[in-house]
Amino acid sequence: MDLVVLMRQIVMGISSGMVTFLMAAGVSIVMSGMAIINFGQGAFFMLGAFICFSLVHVLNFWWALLLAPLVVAALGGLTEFLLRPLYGKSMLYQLLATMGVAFIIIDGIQTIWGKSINTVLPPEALSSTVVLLGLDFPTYYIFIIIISGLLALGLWLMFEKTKLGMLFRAITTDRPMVSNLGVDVARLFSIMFMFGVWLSGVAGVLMAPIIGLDAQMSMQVLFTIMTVLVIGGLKSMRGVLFSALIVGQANALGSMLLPWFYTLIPAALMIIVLLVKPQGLFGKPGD
Amino acid sequence: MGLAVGAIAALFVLGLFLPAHWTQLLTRVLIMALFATSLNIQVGYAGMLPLGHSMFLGLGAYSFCLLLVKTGMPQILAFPLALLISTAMSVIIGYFCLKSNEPMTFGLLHLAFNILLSTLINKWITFTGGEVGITGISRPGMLADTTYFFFFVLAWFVVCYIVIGIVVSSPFAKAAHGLRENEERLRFLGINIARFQLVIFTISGFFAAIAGILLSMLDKGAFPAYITLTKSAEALMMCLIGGMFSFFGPTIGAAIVVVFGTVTSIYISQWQGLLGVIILACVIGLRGGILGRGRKIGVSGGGS
Repeated sequence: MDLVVLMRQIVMGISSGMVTFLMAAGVSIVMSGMAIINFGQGAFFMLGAFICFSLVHVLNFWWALLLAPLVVAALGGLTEFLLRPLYGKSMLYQLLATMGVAFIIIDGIQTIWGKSINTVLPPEALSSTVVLLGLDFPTYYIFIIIISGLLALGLWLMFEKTKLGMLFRAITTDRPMVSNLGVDVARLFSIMFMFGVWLSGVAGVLMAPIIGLDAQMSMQVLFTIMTVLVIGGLKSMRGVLFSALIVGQANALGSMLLPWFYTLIPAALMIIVLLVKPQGLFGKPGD
Repeated sequence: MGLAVGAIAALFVLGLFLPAHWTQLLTRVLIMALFATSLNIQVGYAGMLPLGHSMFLGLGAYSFCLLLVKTGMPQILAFPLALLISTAMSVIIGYFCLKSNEPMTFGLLHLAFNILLSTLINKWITFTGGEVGITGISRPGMLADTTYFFFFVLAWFVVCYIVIGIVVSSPFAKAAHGLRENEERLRFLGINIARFQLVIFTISGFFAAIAGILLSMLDKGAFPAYITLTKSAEALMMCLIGGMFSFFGPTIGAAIVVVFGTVTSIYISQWQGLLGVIILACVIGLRGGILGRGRKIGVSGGGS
């Protein structure tokens, strides 16, 4: 087997895994802190990609990377506001409500940008290849890995070292106490949700130059996010990172080695994990 | 009761006089109503959360069409055989989904099976026709006519609803109701929860499969769209919009969603978004759905 091709696939696997991690982390954070599962995360991702598409024409990719996720996050804030009556209610309502939001976003995308598939070109600086360990790799994928890695690191730092992170963690463990301490929990929830959605927006911009922009793919993206979350553990950041990378590699290598069969692997893994260890590979009992 | 008979009579008359494509729409409404009601056996009555119910719709449709295409057997044989296969799969899938006794795990496993089957159907191009699906299944004899087929479906609709009606008003169903309200107490009464849930699950899958077979007869084939996550979500939405705590709620919901999707899409291309708005409104505002204003919302577990 050609080593170059193999290495390239591995790199692509890592980069798609990292991006999936960002989105799944967004869902996981919201899930841990607010007990809400955001089934619209795939739609927010796609929205980020489309906004990037427009901004790239007007400004450039770097501005898009900065601004698009912020726009998406703002919409996330609006969503959180609408979802407030549903806190603590059954998962069914959250599923339907966030799916309703997803439908609205998907339709909005198709209304604004039309139904044909759009593409975005990667920025000039990142379009070529870079030489690592004596092999040629497409620079853009390495860029994705680096940026996502930095974000992952930033996430960890935020949670462990900053006050905001500490508040996030406190809410996960003991919400009533946090509000007793005088913290505005409602506002914190808002920030949390927007942050989770922001991560999806970033993921959207990062992936925009690689994928075909198609609003209907939002649900496919959601599958992947859910699969990764279930396998890794809905509330475990480490688990999510680990499973995102595994699923990313399974897809990348699988598409090369087992052409049609590989698409079944994530779902099959999901089922196996749910049967054997329902809280996920890294989860603690009690989901 | 009288209302129901009157409604059926009205549908019969409508079937006689409506132009073909309206009759077709009505047929689709009946089929999807059956599908939604089958789901509600689990959701509204037993408080279970099946997130991937479209897989039984798809299993029914695909078993039926595959039997026809691969073995050439007459439809009158394929129908019960496909139903048998789908129900068997329902028992197996239900067994695995219910194994953990955790509602969340049940929901996610159900979802995972839906994804697995959906992916399998999309990718196994040689067997299932992949993304194109199976086409060219024509209806035999009199059923080829739109109006006669409508009456055929109407008959099935009535029979199935009567059976489901009997099931949900039986003592068996009262127990299911108890499952939704207070599982612990039910356990103390000595009722075998797991087996109970499996029976409900299977009955629900059985009727969904019937809907699937009828749907494939309507559309003259089997298509991956039958088994998508979106279709599962649509079924849940139908139950929600119409009211999941009443018998005919899902039917109303199905009527709204199907007519909305078909008719509105002609006039407004943003119907999907509009549906999203309606769902949001229902979830936030009318949580009992149209037929259930003011009903208590409690899905599974917890006494009081």
